[in-house]
Amino acid sequence: MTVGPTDGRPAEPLGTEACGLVTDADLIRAVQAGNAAALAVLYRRHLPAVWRFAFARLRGDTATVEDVVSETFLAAVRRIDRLRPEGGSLAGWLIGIARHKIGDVHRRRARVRSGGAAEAQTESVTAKDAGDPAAPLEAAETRTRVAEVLDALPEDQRMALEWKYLDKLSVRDIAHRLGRTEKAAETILYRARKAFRETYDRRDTR
Amino acid sequence: MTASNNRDDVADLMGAYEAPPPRPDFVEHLRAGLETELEAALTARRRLVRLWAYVGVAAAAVLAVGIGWALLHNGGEGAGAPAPTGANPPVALGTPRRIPFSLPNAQYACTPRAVPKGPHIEAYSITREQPPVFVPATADNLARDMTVSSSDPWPIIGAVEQVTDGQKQGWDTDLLELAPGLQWVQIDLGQSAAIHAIVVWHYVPSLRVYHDVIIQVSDDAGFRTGVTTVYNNDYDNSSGLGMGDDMEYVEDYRGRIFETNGVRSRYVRLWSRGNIDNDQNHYVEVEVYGEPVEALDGQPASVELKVGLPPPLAD
Repeated sequence: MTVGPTDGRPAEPLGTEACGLVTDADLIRAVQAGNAAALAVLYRRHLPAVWRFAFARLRGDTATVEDVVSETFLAAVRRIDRLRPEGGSLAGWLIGIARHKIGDVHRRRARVRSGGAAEAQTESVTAKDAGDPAAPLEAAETRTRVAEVLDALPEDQRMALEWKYLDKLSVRDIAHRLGRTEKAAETILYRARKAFRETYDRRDTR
Repeated sequence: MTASNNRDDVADLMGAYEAPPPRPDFVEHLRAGLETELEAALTARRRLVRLWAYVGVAAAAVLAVGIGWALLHNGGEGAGAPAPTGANPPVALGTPRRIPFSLPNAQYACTPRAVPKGPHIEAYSITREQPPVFVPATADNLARDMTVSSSDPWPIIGAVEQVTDGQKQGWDTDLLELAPGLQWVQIDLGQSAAIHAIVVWHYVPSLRVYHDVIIQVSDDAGFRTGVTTVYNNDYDNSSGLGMGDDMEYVEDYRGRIFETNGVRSRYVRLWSRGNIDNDQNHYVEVEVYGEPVEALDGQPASVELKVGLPPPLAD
């Protein structure tokens, strides 16, 4: 099964990792046409960012993170026919859905008033350094602060940083995902790093 | 840790943001679930297309029979025009006509709930019709397919375009859900218009009261100047837009008609701040009945805004 780009580039098979050259707009069109393979690529492409986003904000409560991520992608698929392929960042849209789903979780917890235990238990389990009792707290704090800084960045800069440093994508692949030229992607990465440092340091000195 | 001026520090900090990967069986299970969901969505869409095809064929057949009947009874003259009778004089161009205004079907998707009541909520009865609203004969729904924007750039469910797409059956695919708290949707009518009535369906499947329903119109897209508030039921000014004198109301599948008395504006903004069930804000459809200002020539006659009858209620 193939997905055909619309800018003259040849169609490519939707293999395991060959999907870097297909833009999100191509994928959305293919999914809207009922292409399950395109859906799988879209899902694989954006799952890490949505997962990380939920994980950081739910403090590693894995069960709730799974719920939020499931609800996010299910909501997205239900709405995919209404999505305009060129209408904006797909990653941003998914993160936006996840943000609201997480908001629902927090509201439910506030109503129940029994939270705390669930949030506290999981971050300690995920801490890398089990020998240092302060490590889990520090790791959680840093993750939260990085999450806040990323939230403050424009969507393309945020995704460029995640794809570059966490998903280890090349500039070429990032450019394709953003639907931009490699030069433009490099510029976005440069600005993203600069904005990230400035915002992080500003928050650090508060 | 601070971020100094080298790439490694950014990489290190980004590394702190990395999360443990999801369980493989979760990833696979969700992928399969998404495929099923996509197939279900496509099947529903195909059914809808088939349904509209049947409706189109049926409508064409009815039209053909009607034209044939008119030809037979009028000897071929004035084919398609209504046959004049003593009770119904001939219809001339420009004569007032009924506005095509339809209702979604009633739904019984949830456990029946008690009718919401309160000191600030209008008394509600399923059998009581809304008071009739009269609009000029030339008024039409100017909002249909016009540009919609909202205070929530990433709606939780749906897209803002759905607010004016004419789909108001209240199915999941008709619903726009905005973030909790005070939110608005705004419709650009494309040009200044004399607005006579605004019809709003926030939610169709069950009875609901939406809080702080405020409807404003303006010729300023940013609503900074020339703002006229045509409805406001924020009785305690909790939304900070001013205290309103209007009552909260129980909304069902019939929506709500707001009379606006020909106020002239290009933009319509509708506010709300959650509802009695949750903090989110919803819209199924908004219709704005009016006439473009530049099309107005003289005082048009008024006719009643007609609402089609819903199907009988099920027990």
